[in-house]
Amino acid sequence: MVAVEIQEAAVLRQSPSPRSQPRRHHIEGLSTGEIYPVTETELIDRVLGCSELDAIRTQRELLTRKKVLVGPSSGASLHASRLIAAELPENSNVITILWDAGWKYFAEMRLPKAIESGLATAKFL
Amino acid sequence: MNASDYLLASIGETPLIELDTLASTRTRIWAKCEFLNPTGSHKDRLYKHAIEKLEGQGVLKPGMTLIDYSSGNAGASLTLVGSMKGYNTVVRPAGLSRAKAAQIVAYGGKLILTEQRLGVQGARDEAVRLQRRLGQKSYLMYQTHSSLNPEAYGTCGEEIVRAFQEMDRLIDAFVCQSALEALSVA
Repeated sequence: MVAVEIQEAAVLRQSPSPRSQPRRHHIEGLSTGEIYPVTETELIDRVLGCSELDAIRTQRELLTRKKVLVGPSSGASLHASRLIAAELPENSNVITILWDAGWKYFAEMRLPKAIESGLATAKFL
Repeated sequence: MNASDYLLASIGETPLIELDTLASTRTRIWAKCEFLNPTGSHKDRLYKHAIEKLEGQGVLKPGMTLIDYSSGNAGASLTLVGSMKGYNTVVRPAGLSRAKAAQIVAYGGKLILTEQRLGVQGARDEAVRLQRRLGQKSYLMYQTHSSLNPEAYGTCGEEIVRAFQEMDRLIDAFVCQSALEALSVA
């Protein structure tokens, strides 16, 4: 059981003082600055950090390579899954979750260049 | 089937897809597509389970105001699932994804913004104050503290285990986000 947290705002690997100011980052839904009562930390075997940049890169790679449009927390989960997969013996299976849809972040997202130029040249019939 | 029955029935049973195979070790990476739930996130499971269970216990009654704090996904799920029971109130730090805020409002939720620098904690404090003010006609879902939250993801874990049994494969590692209840999938 592997838990992913955002490197820039890690709480599982280094406990901040209770209710300290959470470090701001751009991966919504992850690493909000505290460990909640519903998080069953005793189930975690290992904690991996994922940088904001790796999360967003992986999110974008899923979109452009696989046409799977998900949010940045899913990018973080897949990034960590790849790190774990690389350590496991032959023919292992790693499972992760794609948490939410990518359209939820379009307003803030810097879109891949191909999409930006496609939008810029789109015309009405 | 009417629209709301359909939306509720389409929560969960999301597809499991293969994303990557590492050429070096032939290790496979699989992903459970929770983004394909009706509002676009895993949180649909939470509020479907929580509202149905609390109704069964007689805690929730139609017409009550359901409150929770959220960065956005939970708010959309609460508002959609709860919309049959009167309107919902969602407390949310300002400055997060605009589309998520728009989705909550579009479903008919009442959105209360708190200062972004206070984070989810600030939104939670505000939600607690609001529930006290509204009293018995309201209910605070308390997503970060309610045991209904981890309970709700049991189905997700069961679906994964069933899919792997059908493929006759073992799960070697499960990778999930640390912040919340989702660990309970395991």
